[in-house]
Amino acid sequence: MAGMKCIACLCLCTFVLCAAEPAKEIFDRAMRDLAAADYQSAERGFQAVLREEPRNVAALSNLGVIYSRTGRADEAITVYRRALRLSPNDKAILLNLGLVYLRQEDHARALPLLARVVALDPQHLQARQLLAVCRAYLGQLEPAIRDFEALHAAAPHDENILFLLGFVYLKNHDSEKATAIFEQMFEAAGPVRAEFLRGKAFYEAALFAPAEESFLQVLRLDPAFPGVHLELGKVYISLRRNDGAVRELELVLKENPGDADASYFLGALLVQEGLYVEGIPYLERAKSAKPDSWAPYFYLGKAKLRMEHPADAVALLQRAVKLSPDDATAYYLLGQALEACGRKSEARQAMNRVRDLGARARESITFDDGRVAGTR
Amino acid sequence: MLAMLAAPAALRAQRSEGMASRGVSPTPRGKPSGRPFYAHFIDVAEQAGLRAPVIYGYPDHCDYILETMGAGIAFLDYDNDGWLDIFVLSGTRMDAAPPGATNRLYKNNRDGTFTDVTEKAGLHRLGWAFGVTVGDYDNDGFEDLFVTYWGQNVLYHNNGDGTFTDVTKEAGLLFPERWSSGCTWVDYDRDGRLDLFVSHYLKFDPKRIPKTGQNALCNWKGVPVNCGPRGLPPETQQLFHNEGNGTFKDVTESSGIGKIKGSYGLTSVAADFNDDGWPDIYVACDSTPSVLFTNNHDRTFTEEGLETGIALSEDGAEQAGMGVAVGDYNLDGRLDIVKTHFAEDTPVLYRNEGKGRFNDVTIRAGLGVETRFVCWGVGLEDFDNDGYPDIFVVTGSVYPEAQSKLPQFPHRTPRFIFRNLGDGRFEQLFEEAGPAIVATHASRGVAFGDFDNDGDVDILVMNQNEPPSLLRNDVTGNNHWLKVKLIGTTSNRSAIGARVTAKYGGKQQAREVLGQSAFLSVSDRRLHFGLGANETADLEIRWPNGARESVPKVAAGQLVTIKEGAGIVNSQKFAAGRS
Repeated sequence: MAGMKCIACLCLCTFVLCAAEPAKEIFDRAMRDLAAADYQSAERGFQAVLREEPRNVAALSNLGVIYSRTGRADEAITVYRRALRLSPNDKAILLNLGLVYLRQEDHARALPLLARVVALDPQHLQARQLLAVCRAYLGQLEPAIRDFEALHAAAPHDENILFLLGFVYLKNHDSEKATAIFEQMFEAAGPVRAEFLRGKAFYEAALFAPAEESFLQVLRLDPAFPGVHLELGKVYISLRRNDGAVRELELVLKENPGDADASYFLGALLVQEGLYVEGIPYLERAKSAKPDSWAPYFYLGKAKLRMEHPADAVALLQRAVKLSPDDATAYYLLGQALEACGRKSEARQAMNRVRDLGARARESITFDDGRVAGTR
Repeated sequence: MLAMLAAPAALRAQRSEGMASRGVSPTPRGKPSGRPFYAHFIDVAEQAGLRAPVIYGYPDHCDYILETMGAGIAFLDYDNDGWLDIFVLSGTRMDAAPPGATNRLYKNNRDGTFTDVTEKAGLHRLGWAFGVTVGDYDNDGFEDLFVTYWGQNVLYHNNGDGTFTDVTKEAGLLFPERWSSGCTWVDYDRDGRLDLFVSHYLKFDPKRIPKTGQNALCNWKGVPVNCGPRGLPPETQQLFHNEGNGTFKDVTESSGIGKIKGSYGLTSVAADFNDDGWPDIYVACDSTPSVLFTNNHDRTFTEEGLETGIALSEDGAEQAGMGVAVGDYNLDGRLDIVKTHFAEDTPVLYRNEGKGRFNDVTIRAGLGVETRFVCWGVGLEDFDNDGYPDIFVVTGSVYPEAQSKLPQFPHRTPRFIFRNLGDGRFEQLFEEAGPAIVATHASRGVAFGDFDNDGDVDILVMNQNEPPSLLRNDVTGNNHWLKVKLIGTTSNRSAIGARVTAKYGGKQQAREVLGQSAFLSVSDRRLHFGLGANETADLEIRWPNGARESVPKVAAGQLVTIKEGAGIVNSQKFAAGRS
């Protein structure tokens, strides 16, 4: 979301006391490599430390940082979790793991981690913001609104917080309060940026028609405003105005052929419309740029499946489900692909996972403790 | 941090409200074909004598989901006079039953009118009726009725003299009350007797569920509404074996049906979906994956909805499955499925690819153009007799209180037809098919049949808190038709589960005799085939017990009655029809 650049950049420098001299030197050297962004060397160094000292929390955490920065989310999750078992109240590790999950859009897994940070440090601004975002996306709107209102009271001109508060008001169908917040955003961020942020808030709240209006207004005020064509493209996808979406996304890619987001959205749209051959190159580019994002794998897998290349589809969809283990739709397509390959028992396993995920989702939204059911 | 590198919002199923809807926008409409449509519908219910409103909750607000769901409706020939009679299910109101809230049986007077014979027939009953299935469970030559309720289900034995007797207790079907929904007769073990499948919707106790708007799930687009189905405890299905002595035995567990938990089951259709000669059972489920019980031929079933591709949308999204139509839209001799869903979603067309596998071809077939309405009863019937079955859908909102705040979502909405263009695609028709199609109602159940015996397909619709609609089809043009009625001898007498494949002009169309379809409803047992310009058809019959029969070169323009093992035993030309 706009204004919330959160990168796992916390490097832990805790030093292992009982290491032999060489381990300390290796650790220090790995830290220097990490600071210099020489991730390969840094990774080798921390892994060497862990061979000597498997319970070295600092080494585990710094590996997590490296994996996050190099797009290896599942490995980051593994080492962060190992670190947390050793040091369960380490705020930095909790926060970094929460960020990894947020990047995967796994708000349900991120929330308890961020809540723990806030419990340990109620003044932790970043964790409070991220926690409120999780709550908003999980439909816990009232607590999210309370959180953002409290943050807004503490920092009334912070445009990030204004944006997020406007977004949750919209999601809560409270357009009056949202409008008041957007007016404050105009003062804080300036008219063009404020309009852009307002458009993004509308989009996140699934109000696509007003989102379009906002982005068109941005274009009128500043035709070169960064990011507006991408956002407009996304809005047109949601409005099923495919011609407009393709036009906007192609504008982005003309300016910057390596734009991963535009590549992804255009590729996914083309695949969704049945234009598989056309969509694949864009999705390949998105996959290369963000190898730990599940969505390009999902749409590439779908394209291959529909093009009757089920073996290719299986490989892609297996990666998608590894990156997003709770996504039933990815498992569903994987099941279809496995079935098409004649791998029936694996297909059934995938479909059973779809069933389990559905059952779990239903259980999570029962009204009460189960006493709702009764007989007449 | 939150770069939304995910599927765009429009492609994700909404989980924030009480029912599943993919929240999709319609696909662009193509250019109209300009072809004339020779079916024309007018509502003749009033002049036919169908004037009693069907009470189902209050017309202007629904405090509970129970009041929103409506009920099925049936065409049946209860007195075997060759003319379709009508059975209308009714609900009531939560506080007090208004006068006239009862199921009704209307006898066809054979002159375009009907007489209410409910009391005489012994079918007066107050309650929240839901679904109906019609079949001769004791093979005595008369069609019996089974009706589901929120409450006690009822089995009515047809006494053959114009009256029915409630034999629920004697039959062993008296069970703790539940919200039963879809139901169908099905001879699942091919022993010649109709067994009974019953689906259930959810566990409902009005004293315990949250009130309107009390929970995030009890809101729709910011308007407080009744709660559910999401958040309410889901249910299971049951199967009862016909013991042959007037009683039924619960075989839910031994058959494997009971293994499937956690569904909001609605319309239940028994048909042979994988062409192995044994009936399977498909249940449209609301906001949970729809289920397909595949018959294992050994008195057990395996649930394979996901594996066969008919549980979810093309991309694996749950949908609010309500009504089911089964027919052969692309004339390949295999049964396809149409299922209806909530607003901001499309109906789905599952094309049968053979070997029990289906593909969602909704968008390719042109059905993605319509997402405005909550859709219920649906049929695949050839209304213009051109040889290609069309799709008919009834609609109606579940939130009458929403329309004042959201006028773009009115409570009463029109019907629509998707006419089959013959190339795998459909185009949507409204007023082109007559004024009765665009009339707005809060409709639910629908039945298809030829009530005036003139050689076409008419439509009967259940409307909440209004009289039913009786849409008389006045077909013009020169297309031919053929109707087939089957009588089982070794197979069940109603021939439920029998498959007829009609071959005409290089095409072949498969149909089956069904125990329930549309939305919790029952249609004319006589299978209708439009033949286009063809004047004859070759018929292949596969009886429920597996036996096959061929009847070549049957002339168009008549109803033929085929008895198992004996071929055509009767043929009847319809007086007012065009051959």
